[in-house]
Amino acid sequence: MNFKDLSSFFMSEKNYQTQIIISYVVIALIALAIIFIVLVNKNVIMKKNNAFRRFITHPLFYYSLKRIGSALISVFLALAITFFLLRMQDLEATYCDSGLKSKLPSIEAWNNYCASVKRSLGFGGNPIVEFLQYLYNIIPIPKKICTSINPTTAQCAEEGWGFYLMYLGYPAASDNSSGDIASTIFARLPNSFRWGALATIIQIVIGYPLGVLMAKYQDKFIDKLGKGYIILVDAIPGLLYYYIFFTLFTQLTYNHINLFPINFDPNNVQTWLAPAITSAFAGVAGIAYWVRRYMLNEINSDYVKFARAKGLSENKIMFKHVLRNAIVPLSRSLSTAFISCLFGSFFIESMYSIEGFGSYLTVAVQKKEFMIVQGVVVFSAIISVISYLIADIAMAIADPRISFSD
Amino acid sequence: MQENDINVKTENEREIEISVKDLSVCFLSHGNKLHVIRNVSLDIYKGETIAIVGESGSGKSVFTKTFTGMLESNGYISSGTIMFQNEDLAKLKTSKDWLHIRGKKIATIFQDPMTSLNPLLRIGSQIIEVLRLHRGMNKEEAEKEAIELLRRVRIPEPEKRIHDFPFMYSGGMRQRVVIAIALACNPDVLICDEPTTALDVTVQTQILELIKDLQKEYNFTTIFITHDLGVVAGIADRVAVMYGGQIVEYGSVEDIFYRPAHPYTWALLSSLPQLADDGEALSYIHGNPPSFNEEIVGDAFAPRNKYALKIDYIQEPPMFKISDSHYAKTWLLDKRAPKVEPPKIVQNLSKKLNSMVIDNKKVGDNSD
Repeated sequence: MNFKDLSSFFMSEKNYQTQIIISYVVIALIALAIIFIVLVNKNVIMKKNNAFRRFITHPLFYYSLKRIGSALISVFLALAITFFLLRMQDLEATYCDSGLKSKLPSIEAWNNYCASVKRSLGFGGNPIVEFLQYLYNIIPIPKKICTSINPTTAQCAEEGWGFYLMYLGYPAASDNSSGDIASTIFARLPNSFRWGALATIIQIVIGYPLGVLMAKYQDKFIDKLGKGYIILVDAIPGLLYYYIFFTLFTQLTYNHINLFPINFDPNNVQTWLAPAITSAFAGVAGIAYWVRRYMLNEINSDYVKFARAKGLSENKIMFKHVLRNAIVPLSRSLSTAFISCLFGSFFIESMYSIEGFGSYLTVAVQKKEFMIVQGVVVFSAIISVISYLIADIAMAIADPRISFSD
Repeated sequence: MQENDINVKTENEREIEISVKDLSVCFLSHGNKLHVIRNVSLDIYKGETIAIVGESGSGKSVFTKTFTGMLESNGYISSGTIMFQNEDLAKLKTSKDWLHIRGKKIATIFQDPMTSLNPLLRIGSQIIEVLRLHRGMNKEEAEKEAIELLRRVRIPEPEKRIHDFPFMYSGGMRQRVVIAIALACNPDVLICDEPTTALDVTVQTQILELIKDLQKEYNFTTIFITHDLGVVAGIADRVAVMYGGQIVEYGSVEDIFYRPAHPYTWALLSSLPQLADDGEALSYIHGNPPSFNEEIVGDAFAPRNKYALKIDYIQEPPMFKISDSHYAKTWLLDKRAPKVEPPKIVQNLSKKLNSMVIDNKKVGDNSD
């Protein structure tokens, strides 16, 4: 689903005032609810122990709330750091069309024009104010935002007012055709997500059983084979086997063996395979390594010996005791695997010319499009923090020894 | 020390539960073949409590591990038989063969209760899985039985406790759960591999009392591995002393404590700290246990033995019969050997031991 569809589905520009009020009311309600939960938890209010109180003071619930709070702080810090770092560069060359220098009557006129372009994009003035403005722009509530400033009046241009749910700015003037950054990212994310999810699935489906087998038959043939593979992947730079796979798939496609077509098509799962396999080749090794390690940790523990003395069969011990316990610390690595598939593969997306998230960043860095870089950081920070949050909460549920208290 | 009515019977009347004949166990380590158990023979009778004592590295744990096929992967039985219920356990190879023995007929309790339970599974489910596997119960029956078992090992409010996780419990409580799991299948033999070593003294007494009571209730045979002779005096009917991978002396508790015949048993008994007189230096056994890397010639204990004879360095002593129940493996018992008196501390052991056992009993009573 497209970002624009989404926003127009929920609200149209016509009843803008009402939407603003509704959004602020919702935000205020959320804030009140959080304050209420915290007060109930700290035993300040509502001391009666009914079902509602038990739900609110459930350790897991409160733990999640606290984790979301710290996650928001992480996102804020990531944003602040990139925002001010990027502003340390002079990006005039990217944003001000130097071709206009000769056409405009004077150098002052050109300076004026340049300043207004910069102000439209939200930089060139007081950086603190601009940072606050940027934060306001990305909070997902419907708002009217001025996207272009009239160079002569220094006021917002007539057609400059736009209606946005989340505003990340526009790319530089030279490349204005593609629309605003937020909707471009939303259009590109699904492509990255498609092959990234497939790569994650391949990693899990192959990596986990491989790790289990390696641990079960420790120092036997399969373990040695797996170890060799892991060392190989670690020793060779990623780019090299990216290119090996790319060449292989290209040759296959060129010779009309359409097993792994290299021309990515969002609607054809088969075409997602080539980038997914290229990326998963290293990920499988990583997952197998950690599964093996954690499994061996568990296999050599006393409770496994006791389980064996209880008369449980080796398979039962393996799956009910060892694997289950080994997966708990591994559940965190799943989110990492997913994120690295989603963002880490700038090369792969450029190689297979996928219109995705990674390739967007590559292009933006090449063209010094700092608004795009900033936007990509916003999205990747939010997605990473959410997936770590989910992993942490999942781990807290899976392992009873993790306490939810401070 | 209380008189045990089992010991009154002569050997022929008693039924043998496990009969070990000439058992040898080897370990392969870095290309070396280590002979860890050397030609051990022992009969274990039905319903008795036999204690196996010895230093660390004497092979006592390895010896009992052969009864459940739990040897480390580089160890194997090189010769001998272990007859248990008309079956030779020494012939069982794969873990599949062992499934009908382990847990079901021979159960084991390990040393460290803190790590014996799976930390991520509820206590109830760890008991229930055994009940369902060995006794074919359905979920509801198994849960009822699990509660009953926890009650038997004196865990208060077992209905609530089965939903707890092991980390919520202290060592003593966990060892109770471990015992409950071991008893889940009504085993014929219970191997206790130093079950109280990791616990503090008051809890030790409780656990020992519990094992004793349960033995009366369930009538299983107990094999008790320990290096604590105080524990032995309190719980065992018979004692086997192990040294250097061999049983050097075995007999009833009275035989071992009042009429010890092997110099190693003397040394063990005289190093009991409870027996030392006030102000006197504690006695200990000099030297180290034998290394299995070299072939042991003669008596393994000879290099550390004050009473060693010349022949001890040349030829291994045979097992001498002292009485119907009491055997020892030392040349000192040979007719030709010089008459040697055991150390004084061992000679007036009975007096001291009596007062010690009474003390122990007091501790036990208080803690209950």
